[in-house]
Amino acid sequence: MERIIKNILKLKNIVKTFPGVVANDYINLQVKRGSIHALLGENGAGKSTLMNILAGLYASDSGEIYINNKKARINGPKDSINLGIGMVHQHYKLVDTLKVAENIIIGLPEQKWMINNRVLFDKIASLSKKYNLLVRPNALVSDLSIGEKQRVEIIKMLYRNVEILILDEPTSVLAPQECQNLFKTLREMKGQGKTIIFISHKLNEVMDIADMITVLRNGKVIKTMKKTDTEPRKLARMMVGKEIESISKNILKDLKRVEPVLVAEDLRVLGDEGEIVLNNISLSIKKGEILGIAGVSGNGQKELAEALTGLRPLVNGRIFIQGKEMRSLKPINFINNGISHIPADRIGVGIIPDFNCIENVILRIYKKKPIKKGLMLDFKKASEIGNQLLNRYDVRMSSSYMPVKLLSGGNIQKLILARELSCNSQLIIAMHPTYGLDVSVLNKVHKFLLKEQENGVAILLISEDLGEILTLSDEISVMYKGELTSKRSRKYCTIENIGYAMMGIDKEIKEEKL
Amino acid sequence: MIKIESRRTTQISTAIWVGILSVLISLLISIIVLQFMHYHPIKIFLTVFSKTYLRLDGILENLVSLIPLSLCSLAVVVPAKAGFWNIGVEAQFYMGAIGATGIALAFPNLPGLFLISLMLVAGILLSGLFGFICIIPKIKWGVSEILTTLLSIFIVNYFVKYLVYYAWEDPKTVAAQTPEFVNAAKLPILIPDSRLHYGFILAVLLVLGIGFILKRTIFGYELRLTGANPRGAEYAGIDIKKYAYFSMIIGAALAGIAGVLEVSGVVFRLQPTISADYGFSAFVIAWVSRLSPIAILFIGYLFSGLEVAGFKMQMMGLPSSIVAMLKGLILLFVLAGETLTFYKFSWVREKKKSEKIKKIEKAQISN
Repeated sequence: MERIIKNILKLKNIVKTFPGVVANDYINLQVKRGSIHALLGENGAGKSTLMNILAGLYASDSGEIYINNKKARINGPKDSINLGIGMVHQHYKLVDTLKVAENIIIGLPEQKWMINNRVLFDKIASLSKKYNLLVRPNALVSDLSIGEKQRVEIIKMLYRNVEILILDEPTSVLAPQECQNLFKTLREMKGQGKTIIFISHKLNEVMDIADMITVLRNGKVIKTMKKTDTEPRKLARMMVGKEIESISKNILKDLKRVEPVLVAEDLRVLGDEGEIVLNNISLSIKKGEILGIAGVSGNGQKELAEALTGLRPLVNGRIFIQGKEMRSLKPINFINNGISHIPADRIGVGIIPDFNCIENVILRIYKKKPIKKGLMLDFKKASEIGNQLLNRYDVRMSSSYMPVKLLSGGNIQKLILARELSCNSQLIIAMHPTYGLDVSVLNKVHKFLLKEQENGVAILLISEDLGEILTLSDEISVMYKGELTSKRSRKYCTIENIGYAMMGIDKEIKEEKL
Repeated sequence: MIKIESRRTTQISTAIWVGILSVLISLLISIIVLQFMHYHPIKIFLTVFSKTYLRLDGILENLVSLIPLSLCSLAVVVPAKAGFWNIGVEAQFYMGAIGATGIALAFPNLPGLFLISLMLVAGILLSGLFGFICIIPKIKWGVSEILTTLLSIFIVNYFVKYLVYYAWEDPKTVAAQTPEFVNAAKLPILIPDSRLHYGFILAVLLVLGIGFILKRTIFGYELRLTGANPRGAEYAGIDIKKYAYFSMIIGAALAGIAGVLEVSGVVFRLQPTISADYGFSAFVIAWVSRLSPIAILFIGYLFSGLEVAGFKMQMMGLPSSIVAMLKGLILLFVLAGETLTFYKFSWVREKKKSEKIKKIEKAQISN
């Protein structure tokens, strides 16, 4: 009789380098059969890289992988699947133009010539029932919500009979209630004997779902431990390498008499495909107020930020700044009226990747004295002022003349903040200002924003991160399918009532009975 | 196993030795080929090299063709810096030449300096307008500027033919050309006993000037911003359409100036063959120079040397097809060698070997 091996997966001395970075530095890891094993770490800690090696997308430079104590050779995704390893990536790998069922069997040898829909649908239905994963096999993937796409990805892996399921940051796109459903499914799968590796940087999630936790930092394993042997504070310290202070903020009370900085009336805006993405949105932001807009991405947030900065034309609606109507809605007019914008797409919009740090940080001020000298740019002055800004906002670089694209994500964001917060603006439109940032940088970004608010600057904070919204905002509003709920003071908001509005179950943020 | 790694940062010295190495390898292959064809390649190369790059008359001759080559390269660089492909340099070059010729033929009695200035202005206006027309469809309807500028070459080609065969035909000769310009319309010679004319100074000044404008002025900064990241530029409040128009107009006008200088400094009349494919060579020069105006002067010099050397080789009895092949070889290697300036190849020992080493190590331990 075959002996049942306790550790289904063993990684030995895995090394993976990218030019200039050691992503995985002699990583050793053992995963128990039938457990939920969390990989916890900040962005760039090497979690995803390690799992991509297991999934066959990257080849490790050196090291060994053992499955059921047998040495495994993984040369591509096919090998991984054959070894029973499946991964649900952070960015889903589904074909939008195909149906759910077709996506599920993509690349499988058994369906080479003809697709037998009845057998296929039956199998999908049984998997769906067994693991509490609701999917519609006949629907087009492009019509699915993000949560449903994720369920399709999971079923796709279960269909391939994987024993080890890797999930890369699965909750980053889900509303809180959807997370709970996912966790229910994961527990169900564990009960059926599957092994789950759960990549995350969120402590509370990991404490909720995991049996074992491995903390990674800078490509190294810091420690592997049972969940019951640790607590969130300890984990946070291991993740970051130092203590982190928590930020808190008092809600502004006497906003009634304050003049609004920006008022938008009945905005109607089209998306890239010509569909209506913002439908009759009105909002107003007052001096010194932080208005948080929560919502799952893709409900019109990006278009709202673009409409309020002149980057997207209005089909209908009016925008007033300090009581005066904006006649011309070109970006330059918004800039001249003191509106700063921290865009969602940092690399594509927020910076000029091939330009150096100085050229990037002066983007808002190069047309003002002293950098502008007649028709010339005074590069000496520019680098003087630029360096001051870069230092003040703690942008770390080997030289301020290196192309910005070589900076890390956190430093790029600090550079954008340095630029956007230094031009005496009245309103900052901050979109996902801390998305994907390390905890330490995230804290800095929050502090910078709060300091602006103390100086009387209004901030429109658009974010998917409910924690961020609840920490920073004075008033909160939720965006769902291009509509905005009326705003409510933070003190009436909880994760639950915002969550229901985020999923469109409630039309407004309902008052919780406390 | 060969591993390809990005260099991340490239030093100028690397770029230079890669360039030299590429040329040497291509010459080596050429020597082998010519040897098989029973020519005397080494003798030919040495003679041609000394005649083109070492002797004064050869150097001056290089500088003559550097004038149109450098200006035409600039005509690629300026739009490229703003994110647009100007493939129609050849057309804009001829538009400049046409403008200059028209003035020279219409006002033969004007005094020299005035006539030449007028020719310049006409060439700039005509070519600039032509570049402007080519970019309108891009801005208005999103038509690729690669198409419009490329196709414009054919239009101008036929227009030139119409002029030299019909409208401005030279009654004295049967060749396809306009009458020769009056002396007042000819650019004076810069160095006696050579063909190097005053246009050379203008070309160098323009190269340096454009380099300065791109690098140091607000206009240049905004233009480069537009090219490097149009969405980022828009976000920064820059009117990117303005830079689309301006970059193309300036580029076209630079090519036009090259055309003016060529007719009034070298050929003294309009012919359908006054450009030795300058517009196309310019494209290669511009990109091998990494769009740097200063580099254009040096790369352009090497290139014009190549042109001149080609003529010399033909005079030594090599068929023109062989010469074209040799030029092609050099280009091919230089362009392919470009990869090396951004990536490095390194040998990685195969896993088998490392396993062997392990076995040896094991054996040592057991011993």
